[in-house]
Amino acid sequence: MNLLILALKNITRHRLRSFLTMAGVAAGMFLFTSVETMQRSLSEVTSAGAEDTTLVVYRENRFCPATSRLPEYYLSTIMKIEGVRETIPIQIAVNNCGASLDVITFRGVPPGRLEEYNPNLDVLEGSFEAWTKRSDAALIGETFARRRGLETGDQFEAVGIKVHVAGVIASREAQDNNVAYVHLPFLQQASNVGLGTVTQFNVKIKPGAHPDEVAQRIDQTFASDSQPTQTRPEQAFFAETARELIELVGFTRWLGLGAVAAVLGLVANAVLLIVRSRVKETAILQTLGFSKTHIAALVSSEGLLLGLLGGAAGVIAAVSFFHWQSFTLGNEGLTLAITPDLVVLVKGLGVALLLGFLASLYPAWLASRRPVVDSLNAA
Amino acid sequence: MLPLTYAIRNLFRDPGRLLQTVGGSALVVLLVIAAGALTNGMNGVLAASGSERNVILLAAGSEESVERSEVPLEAESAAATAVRGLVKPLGTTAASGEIVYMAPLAVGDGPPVPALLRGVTAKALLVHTKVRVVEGRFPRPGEVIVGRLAHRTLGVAPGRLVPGATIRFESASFRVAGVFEAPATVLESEVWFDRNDLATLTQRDTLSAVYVRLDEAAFDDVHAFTLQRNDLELAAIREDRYYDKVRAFFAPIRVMTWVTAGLVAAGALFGGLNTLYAAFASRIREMATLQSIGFTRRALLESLIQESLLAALTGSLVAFVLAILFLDGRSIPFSLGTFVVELTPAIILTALATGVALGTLGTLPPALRCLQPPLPVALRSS
Amino acid sequence: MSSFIQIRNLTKSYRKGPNLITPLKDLTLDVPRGEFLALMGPSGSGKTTLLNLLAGIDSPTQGELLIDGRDVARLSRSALTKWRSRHVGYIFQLYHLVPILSAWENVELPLLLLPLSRAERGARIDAALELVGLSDRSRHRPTELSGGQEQRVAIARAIVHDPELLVADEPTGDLDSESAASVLTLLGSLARDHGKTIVMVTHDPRAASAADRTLHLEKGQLIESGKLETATAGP
Repeated sequence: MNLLILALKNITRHRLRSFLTMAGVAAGMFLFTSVETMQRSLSEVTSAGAEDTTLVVYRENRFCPATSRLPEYYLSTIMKIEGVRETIPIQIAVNNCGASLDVITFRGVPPGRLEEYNPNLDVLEGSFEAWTKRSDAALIGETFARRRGLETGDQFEAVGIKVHVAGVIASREAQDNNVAYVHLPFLQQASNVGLGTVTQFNVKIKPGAHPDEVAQRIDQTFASDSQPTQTRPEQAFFAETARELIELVGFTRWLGLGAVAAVLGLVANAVLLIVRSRVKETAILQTLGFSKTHIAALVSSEGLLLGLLGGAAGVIAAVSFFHWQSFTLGNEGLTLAITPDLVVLVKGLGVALLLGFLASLYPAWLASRRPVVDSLNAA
Repeated sequence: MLPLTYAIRNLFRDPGRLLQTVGGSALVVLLVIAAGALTNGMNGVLAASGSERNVILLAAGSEESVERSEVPLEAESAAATAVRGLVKPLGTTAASGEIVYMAPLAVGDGPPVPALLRGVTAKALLVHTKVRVVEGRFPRPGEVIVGRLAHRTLGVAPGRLVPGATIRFESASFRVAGVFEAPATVLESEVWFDRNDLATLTQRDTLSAVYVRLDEAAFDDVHAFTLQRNDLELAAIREDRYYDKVRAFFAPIRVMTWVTAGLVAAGALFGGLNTLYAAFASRIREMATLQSIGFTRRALLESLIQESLLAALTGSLVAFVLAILFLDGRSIPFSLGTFVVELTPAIILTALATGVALGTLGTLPPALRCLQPPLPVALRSS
Repeated sequence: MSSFIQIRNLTKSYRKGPNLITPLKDLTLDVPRGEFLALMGPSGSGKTTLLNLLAGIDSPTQGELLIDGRDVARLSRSALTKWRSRHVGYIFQLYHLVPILSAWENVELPLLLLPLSRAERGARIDAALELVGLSDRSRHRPTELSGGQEQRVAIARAIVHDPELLVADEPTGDLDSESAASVLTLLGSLARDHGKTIVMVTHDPRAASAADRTLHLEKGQLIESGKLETATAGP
């Protein structure tokens, strides 16, 4: 414990060097944490959870919402299929199909059905009634509202459609928080798709039913129709549709590795410099009775502290940044909210600690093995 | 003035430190080159793709994305006749109605990959003047023509997309009839179908947009047309303005690129500063001795900067070589198309300036600290 | 005839943390041209401070410091640097040679500040190395030389530009008795045969005995004691 205090004193003694090192580590860990946040947000959306699987019925071989056109009358047929509990038709309109940050998504649904289909929707502002009453009303997800600074009663226009905000909602299902729900007929007309056509159907299955079996049944039913379908669990649908997004986030993994390498190099460099500048002092400590293990532990502690303190700064900065500034990546009508959670925070701190330790292994070994006599005579 | 050999030999005093300084500079300069080249490339291809002589007529409300737009077939002939002053080579008005569609295509018996399809008639060549057929010919029904960089989007080797190859869209097969080039534009990564074929395949009876090329006509004339025929529900936007909007859409990604480069560069810079502070600190006595002989602080500062500049410029050279080997000429696909990375003189100059700044400005704080102690004190330091 | 070095009421004080330290107070001293003077005294007595003031490395807080007729105390920093490069040679206890340069190149350093041609420089360096007896080692780097040889290279460097004044801070402090003796002989001959004025700070009484006159510095005050005629103030 005393060694740790000694290490801390050493670090504060050389303020400039410690500051530079920790600033560099903070920068690297900021990058690493940002990447981790994105990776984690993505994996949560694309990995299947055990409960409450939603199936997405889409036009076969289509990806962009503008190109998937399914007849609305499929609805009654789907409802009759074994294993289907609830279905809702959705028309989607987006401002851009490519992967980017400022994607605006409208979901047109039959106004009477939304509450039934998703009872877990929390209305934070406004009300369902207000939404059902006006044909141009929109219920917007809270992340979307925050991003655009919208409140109940505001008007906004996007994708050539003008809507009136009737309420703000929040939901456990990630997609809901980033979209604007509008009336289906309203959207069908406003986006020129025409009444009677929708982009997709979202299907909730009965408890105990097998999602893959139900999906197959649905596809078989429409296989020979003019608009054949392809049905998949929502997560798989995301994984196959938002390919560009996934590639982008996958690419950032390299950035994360680069950040780790940079931090490792930075701390190793700093600790090596520390060791070199204190050769004589280390020897004097040894003559006082500090063993080689003590010396190695002292050096390692300094590396650890540099890594941890700098890393904490970077990790906390990144988590705060993503918490206060909500980023949403969109692709092909699907949205991914980049939100940090406790796991990212803890993982970031752990990685910083580990890097600090690893980086000081070699310098610690170097410091402890130099013969005392040589060190004392060093100029 | 201290001789240059002094500076050079000091560099080799500590090979480990030299490696660090050169490596660190190389990293920072390489990052600047990469970030600059990528954002430049993306910007460039979007800027060059739009001509100010072309106007796009799309569905009102779809000005941000041609893919989403749906325009009645008759808009093509309506525009051709109603707007005077459009380019009219050999009697055919340059008004091209096209279908733009994103769908999975398969090459030969490979897996389907999302690609950008464009259903066109021969009139497309009148409007998209940068397009030139370099191999084969324009497609007839049942055939397609591919852009020179389409192979990148489809993930196959360039040799596989040559006249004679087969492309599949769902269950239908198409023969590649030719290859076109459209240098520095997004069109080069597209696959062009005969418009009727694509309309049948996608079961649509509408166009995505009508592209017209202006001769004596001005944009306002086209705009006036959309107001006169508001039953067609059209909106007019100049092609270059359209791509400007698209470019703005990708701005956050460009910002991300620079922020990342900046963060890693900052880390490298801090490490370099640390190293320099330590290296110079061990030479305080030597600097003081030289001052006692009679060399001015300025002469010593110049020598220290010479050293760092040599190291930083060497690092810059390493970065250039790596960039030329691994970045130059690389084609990078993104959602709208593919751009080719080019190391323009502007980028090289910026990178060079970065190297110079690292060697001079980056050295100043540690060097000044080294020269700052009063002589009697400095002579005693170890 | 006025002395080569004329010091009147010289005071030097500086701050160390919250304290004001005054190693020299109201010092008066005359040193005739060509004299080999030794300064002795306990540590902290201010002898190195006096040496640094003579060499132009430091500036006095108050008083007059005339060297060869020029009031060095009044010179600006850049003028002082220039004066130093032509008129003073400094010999350190730990030699302070540049490790990456050869002996020849180390000796060359002061000449780089003068407007000499390459040939002229070469001639002077060879002469200086010859004088200290190290012509055969001119290409060696400091790490390849013994302590005594390093000090002689340092002396060569100190005289190569033909300064009138040499200051030496414990020049034999780090040497064995044989090397020390040869260095002291060299210094003596520089004063006697070449007319250089030498001021040497030392702890070693044997080193002091090689000098013409020894002065003791205690608490910033000079106390005379020498083996030649005692003289508190020059004519």
